[in-house]
Amino acid sequence: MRLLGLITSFAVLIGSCFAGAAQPQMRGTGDLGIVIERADGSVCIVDTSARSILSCIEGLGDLSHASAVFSRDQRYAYVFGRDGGLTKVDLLEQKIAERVLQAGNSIGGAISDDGRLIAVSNYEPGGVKVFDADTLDLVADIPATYGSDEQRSKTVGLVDAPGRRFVFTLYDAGEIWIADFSADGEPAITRLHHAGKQPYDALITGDGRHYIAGLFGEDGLAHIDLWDNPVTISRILDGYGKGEEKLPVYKMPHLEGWALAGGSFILPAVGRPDLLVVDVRTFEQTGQIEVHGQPVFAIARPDGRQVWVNFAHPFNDTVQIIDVPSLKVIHELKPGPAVLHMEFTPRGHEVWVSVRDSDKVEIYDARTFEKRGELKLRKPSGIFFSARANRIGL
Amino acid sequence: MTLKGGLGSPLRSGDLDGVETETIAQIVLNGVPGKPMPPWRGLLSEAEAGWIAATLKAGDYE
Repeated sequence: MRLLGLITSFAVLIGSCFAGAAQPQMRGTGDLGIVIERADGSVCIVDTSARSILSCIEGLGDLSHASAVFSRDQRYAYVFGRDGGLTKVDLLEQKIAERVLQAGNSIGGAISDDGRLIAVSNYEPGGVKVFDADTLDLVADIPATYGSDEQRSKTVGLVDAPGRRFVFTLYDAGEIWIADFSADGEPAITRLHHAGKQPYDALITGDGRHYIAGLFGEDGLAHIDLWDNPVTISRILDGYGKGEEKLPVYKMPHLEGWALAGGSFILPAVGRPDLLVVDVRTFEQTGQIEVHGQPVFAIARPDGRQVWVNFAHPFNDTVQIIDVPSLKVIHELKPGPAVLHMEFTPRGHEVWVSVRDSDKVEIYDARTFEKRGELKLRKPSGIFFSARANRIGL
Repeated sequence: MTLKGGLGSPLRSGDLDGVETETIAQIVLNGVPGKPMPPWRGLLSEAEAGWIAATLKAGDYE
């Protein structure tokens, strides 16, 4: 028995010698993730158990405002770059598995519920392209045409929906489209008109039922209930937006950050230092919480007991924590200038915070708020853990 | 930054041909009504807005 233990530890020793050379190791990827280094076109693969960086991979192009989704087996991250690059990163082998430059100017993407399709939202040329998740070969091209002269709209707010569907919004046309890939061959497209003026982003709720688009050009939000047949657009939260005072909005809040907590959505107001509390059934506002600045992300701890909030310039050095039962700010952190993103570990024991201008990611205990670690990264922005593979709309 | 634009306009020097530096500075300070570009007056001085406008025109960040 002792001899066996000796052999095992020897094997581990040998194994660790090869770790630096990025040899595939016998390990799971459920506790891994990636952090975007936006200025360098690089992504770093991180281990959330060891709180360490495993490897950084360069050559992903322009990664400002980049985002990522994960394969069902959580081995691969699909990274959506700003320059139209779509890169499939192998978390185990720590290398680029596939990469295509699929458009000129892009914003985000999604993976189908069966894990077979990757969709990318493009500004230029406006539309959505869909790729095979294994090979990144083009499967479908959906130009976002509108009007009599077939102009093409920029597309925003692309998400996956149950039933091998993607939902996205046309910024210039004010439409919401549903692309249904449940049958073989070309997707069935449902076009919903009159979403409102300049829809700039959207989200789908974690149950895959409600799709909600934010409008830059007017107050209120466009809402569709995917359980309806036929699906129609209605308007919710008529007061949501800049309101009558028309305060300057330095950073539109991310709608992905609609925190679902305690029977309410807690979401960033636009252009005001407030969070709104909205009933999950009626979509009526039931309260608001004054916070430190214009909120960008409001993210619920996975148990829903707390919501963590970051802010737009010039208050982006701060993170506030909201206690959901009392709807009060109970703690404030000052990680430093340009807090860009926050990501919880899957069951919420820790939270990772990217602090761009300090070139670091800070790791906090999400219960005591004590700092548990700090990683040096160059201009970190988005943080994406592989557990997103198992969540609708992420 | 690629300055190639997103929801807003591209801002490379070639895209700004025919636009006066002072006009760009005024857009920075006053924003574009009806568009996502906010007014930065209050956070940026006239001199800072002028520097941004001149830098964009010259293409120094491309």
